[in-house]
Amino acid sequence: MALARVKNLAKLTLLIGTPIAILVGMFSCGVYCGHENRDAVLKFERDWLGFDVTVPGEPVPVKTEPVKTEPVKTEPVKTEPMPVKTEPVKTEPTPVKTEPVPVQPEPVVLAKVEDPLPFPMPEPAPLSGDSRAKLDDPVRISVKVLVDPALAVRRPDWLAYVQRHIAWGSLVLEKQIGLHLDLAGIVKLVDTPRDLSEVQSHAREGANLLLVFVDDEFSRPVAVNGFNNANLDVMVVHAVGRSRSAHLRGLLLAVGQVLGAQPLGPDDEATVQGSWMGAVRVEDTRPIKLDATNRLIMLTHKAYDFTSPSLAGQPSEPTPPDEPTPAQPTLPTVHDEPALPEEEAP
Amino acid sequence: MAQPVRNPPKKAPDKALEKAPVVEEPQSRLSWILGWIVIPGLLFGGLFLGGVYVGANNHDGWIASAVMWLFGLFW
Repeated sequence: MALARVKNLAKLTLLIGTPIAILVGMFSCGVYCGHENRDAVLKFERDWLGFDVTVPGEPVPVKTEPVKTEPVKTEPVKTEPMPVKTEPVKTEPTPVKTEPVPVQPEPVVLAKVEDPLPFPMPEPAPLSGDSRAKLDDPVRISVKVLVDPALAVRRPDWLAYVQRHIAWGSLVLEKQIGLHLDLAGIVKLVDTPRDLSEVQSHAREGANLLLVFVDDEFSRPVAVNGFNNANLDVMVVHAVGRSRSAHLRGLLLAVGQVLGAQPLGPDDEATVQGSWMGAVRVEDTRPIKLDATNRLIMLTHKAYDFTSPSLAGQPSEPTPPDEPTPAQPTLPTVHDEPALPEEEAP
Repeated sequence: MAQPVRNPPKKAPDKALEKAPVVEEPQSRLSWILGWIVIPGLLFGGLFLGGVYVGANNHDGWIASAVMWLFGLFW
């Protein structure tokens, strides 16, 4: 009798215990794998899932005391950008000058980013003569970043994401053309803009340049018809991939286009060599370079003022009829759609 | 006079009916895949991935420590 009872108990234990043991075993195998491959799992979570995790063995983004930027007072909003220069640079007069519009910016609290560059950056080629003088003449431009809500959803750390991109971009640009980017502020947009003219009137808070970080993948460079003697003051930045530095090449391309550099064809020699102005998708592991021609253009343009294209049609002084009218810049669409043909006037 | 038959003799059960096999609904391929592949796969995969998450993010917690101790007994 007792033996039968023991047998029944053993059967019952096996019947219930085996499935539980299998489930616990599966979970334990997962824990073991996660523990053994912790670095890879955390990297995946950070780069692909957007989790805010720290990967051991990599430099921790140091968040020291917050740097409180000074609010810019009563600076011209659009047509009188103030690139901070060490010496006054002789530039061509800007196409338009409007009345300064006083703004009351709120102070932006930004953390200091000391994350190292994610890509290798070879030393730029040495310059001489006038180009060397331009490189040694540092220029600071303040940048305000507008973030696509879709990107903010995908990257919950969008504030830190943008900050480190601007810091990285500034590192690269400083080395290549002596241009420093100052982050004036980051704003999450309510809706994804369809056209850059929609965000052009956004409050700039003294920033020279508005950059719109969109969630769209880079397919081809936006068509920009810029100024001859000025820089555009708004540009879109596309992503390349989904890594934590996905917008870096897009940012450099955008700043290049703002500063008059021309995107290169996919078969161009400079593109093959890895220039960020090459209009192709480039893997994260490739070094960051800039071709010599576009570098010289950007060196020249970095001293120019930033101007809104829509205001270019309202010159303060009439242009003499024999002088050529500067090309009217056009703003690209955010989604890189082909522009609709203009309706002819009756 | 013959008495009326109150209990008529029962008929023998039809043997053909008694031996008829129970016809089961044919199982579709989709339900087989769902029942044997997809749902168990999701269940076990979810458990495994949950374990990976716990092992990576709480590598010094008691669960990870216990599992590593247990695995250490055999490895």
